[in-house]
Amino acid sequence: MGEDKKAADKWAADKWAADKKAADKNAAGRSGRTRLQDAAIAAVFFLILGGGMALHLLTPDRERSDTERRVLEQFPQAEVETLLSGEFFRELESYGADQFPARDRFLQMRAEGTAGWLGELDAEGYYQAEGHIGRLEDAPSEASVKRAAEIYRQLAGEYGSQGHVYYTVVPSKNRYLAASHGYPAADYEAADQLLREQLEGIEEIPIAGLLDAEDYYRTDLHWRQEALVETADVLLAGMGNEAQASMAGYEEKDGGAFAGTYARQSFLPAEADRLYYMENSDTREAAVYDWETGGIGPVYQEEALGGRDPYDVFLSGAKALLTVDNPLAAEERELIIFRDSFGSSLAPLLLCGYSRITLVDLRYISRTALREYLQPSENCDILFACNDGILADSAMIDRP
Amino acid sequence: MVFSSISFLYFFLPAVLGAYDLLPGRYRNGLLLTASLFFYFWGEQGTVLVLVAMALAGYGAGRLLGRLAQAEGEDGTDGCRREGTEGSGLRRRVCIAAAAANVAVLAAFKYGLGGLALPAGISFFTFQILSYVVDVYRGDVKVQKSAADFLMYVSAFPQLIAGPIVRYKEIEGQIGDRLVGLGKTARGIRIFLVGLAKKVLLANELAVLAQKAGAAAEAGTLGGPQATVLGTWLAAAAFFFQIYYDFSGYSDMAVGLGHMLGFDFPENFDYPYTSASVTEFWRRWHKTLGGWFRDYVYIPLGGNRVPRWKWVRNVLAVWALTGIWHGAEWNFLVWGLYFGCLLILEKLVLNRWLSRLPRPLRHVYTLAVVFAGMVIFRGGTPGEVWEQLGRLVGFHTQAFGDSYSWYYLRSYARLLLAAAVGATPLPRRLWNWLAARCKGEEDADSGDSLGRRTAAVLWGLAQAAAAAWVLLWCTACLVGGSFNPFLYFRF
Repeated sequence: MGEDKKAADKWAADKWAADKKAADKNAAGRSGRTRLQDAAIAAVFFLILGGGMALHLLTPDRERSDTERRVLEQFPQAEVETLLSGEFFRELESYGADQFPARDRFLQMRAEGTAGWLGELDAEGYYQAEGHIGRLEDAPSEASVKRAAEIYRQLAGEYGSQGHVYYTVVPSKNRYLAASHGYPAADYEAADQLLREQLEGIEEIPIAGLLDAEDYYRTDLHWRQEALVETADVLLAGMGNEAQASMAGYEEKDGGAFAGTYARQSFLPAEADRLYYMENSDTREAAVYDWETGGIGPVYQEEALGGRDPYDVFLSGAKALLTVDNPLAAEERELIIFRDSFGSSLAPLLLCGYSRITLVDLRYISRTALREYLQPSENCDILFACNDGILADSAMIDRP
Repeated sequence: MVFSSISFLYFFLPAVLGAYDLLPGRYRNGLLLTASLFFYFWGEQGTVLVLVAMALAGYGAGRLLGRLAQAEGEDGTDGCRREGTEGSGLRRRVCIAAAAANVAVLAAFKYGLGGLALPAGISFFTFQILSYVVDVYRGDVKVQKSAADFLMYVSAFPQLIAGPIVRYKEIEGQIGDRLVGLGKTARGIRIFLVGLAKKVLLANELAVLAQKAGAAAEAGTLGGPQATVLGTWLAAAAFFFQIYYDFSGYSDMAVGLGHMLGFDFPENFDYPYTSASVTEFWRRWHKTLGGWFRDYVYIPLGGNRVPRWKWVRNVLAVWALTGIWHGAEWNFLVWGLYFGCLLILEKLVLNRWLSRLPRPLRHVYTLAVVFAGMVIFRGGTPGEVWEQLGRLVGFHTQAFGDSYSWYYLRSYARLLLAAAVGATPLPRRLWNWLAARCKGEEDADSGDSLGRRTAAVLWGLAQAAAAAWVLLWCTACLVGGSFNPFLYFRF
């Protein structure tokens, strides 16, 4: 036997002897109290595992999670094919986690613990600053910004020949919170500059300087409509429209408490917001036509206030193509906004200056399909108003 | 199925342990075999047939070797030869053929011959089968006559996927007769929970840091993370601890589960990052693999009782094999040879110098070379690994840190500190100290006092509370579908 093995064996033998001595001592010292301690730990272990299993089996399955805003996995169908491919077991793993009893409470526990004892500054990308919940964003690539610009240019060429074309960048809350609180942030100025260079000939209406973190919900990614009046004035003026939202007689309507998606998804503690919406005669009289459903509805969908996402009160939430007709408009003037969800709360404030506003969400409709519906009148203004997140991932709006 | 999953913790484990405790002892092997095959089928489906076929082939080889030994009259009762003799040429040929067949199957799957998918844990169970065949040939163990029991040994779910490599002779006696009592179950639960915490609370979080801090934005990103010295250190440090907690956590869970089922599986890790030399590190890291290569490759090659050049060859051969045991990628071979060379250097030169150094400096030396080794182990292209190693000392980058790397340092400082402290025996010593205090040295003198009884009860409650906290906290991490990779599943 070699020296190496001898040395290793001696080392192992010494260690074994030490371990055995400790084990013997432990065994010798085993008393009723030790057995009680053993029983306690075993009882807790099996109670939690067995109890968890029983509750899992007994608790009815949920179809979706409102907090996470997603459909939950259901018990999979067992078929020979899915069993042999492993798909059944993969789905079963997801089902086990998705339908776990008190899942939301566990998620909250994790978020609090991650920020608490682990001291991590963000929980799955969500962070807290100035009483707000923010979310770390991926920095945009030049390619993504250029692709967005290319889409804007193409649409401007297609629909903007009759009127004026403008663009604005809807700033994300991160612009005002991240860097100033030590969180990594994208180089927004560089992204703005690049977009500016790419959109030469399309007039920019900058609004980032008009806003700050307080103009956004604490618990949500969106801006607060009641804080956008000045922004709406600037946009209207920028588009050569003499109407002013600040003079349009809007009054704040209280839509109740609002826990936004950031609060629900991050499970971080934050004081709930109140959601207000700005109503005047224009918004009351306007009719919203949904091209997908063919239905006509109001500007503010008040039923949404008690629903899963109260922000859907603004123009019914995510919609591919809407036309808002304002019978009280002072002049016949049309606006097309290529927008995202931020545009839903902005558009009602622009209504005072237009008889018709068409809202296009390029995430949900292809440019080819759009041609069928979009026929701008003469002197139609066109405004591109997507937020930083869309510019960072412009593949979302690239649906030829 | 992985141990750190809801399906394992809340369905498979309580169901199996419940049935296991209810059944009479004679049915337990059957239950464990059925449960283990189901466990493997859950994750691997059809390749369970590979496991069964290899195990049965190993069983058959053992039986054949036993019969040949009987025929040769070396052992008239159980087919077991007397120790120290290695038998006839025919038995030797059978042993070599069986070993070669196992290695060939392992190589075929592991190194992608014919585009076959790698069955999880094949490196581990192949080595278990190999050691059994060789031990039967050597006469170190009796031939297992029950195919079902042998299949149960090979496929036992606690150690099936990622070890430890449990040699047959280590649990030979427990296959037919093992005790499951409250004390052993409780000990198993404690070890299992330590492993679960290592895996879910530390390794998974460290994996996130390793991924984030190591990610540099592509050129043309407007304000994304850059490749910096600090970011590279953070990513490497996170991986350095991740692989330890990932693998040792899994091993602890396996050992703990073994105890709950009545087995005594060997421990695989013994605070390797506290080693004062690379030689010591490899006595503490993945001990069952190191021991396996020592006993089945290094010693048969002659160990160190050969001329120096042959010894160097033996060491390099063992470490090249250790490297490629992990995978066919170039970095594993380089990683193995890197440690082989370090061990040779230590033996020939460095030990003399190291022994004169203060112990803290020896720790620094060991940590530094192991740290570099883990960068190689983590992989990438040769260029990427070289670049990472260079960046650790300031090459290949313009910046020491950027807003991202400083943020990660602030955000994960507590985790890294916990990981560093947890890799030392300090937490265990603290636990043992508390346990001794609360046990109150009860058998030392006059018996139980009220204070000691209270302390013991409080200690019991503290343990139960700690167990509940670990389980619930891990559950919280798992229901959210946290990043939950197992590094050693691919080996």
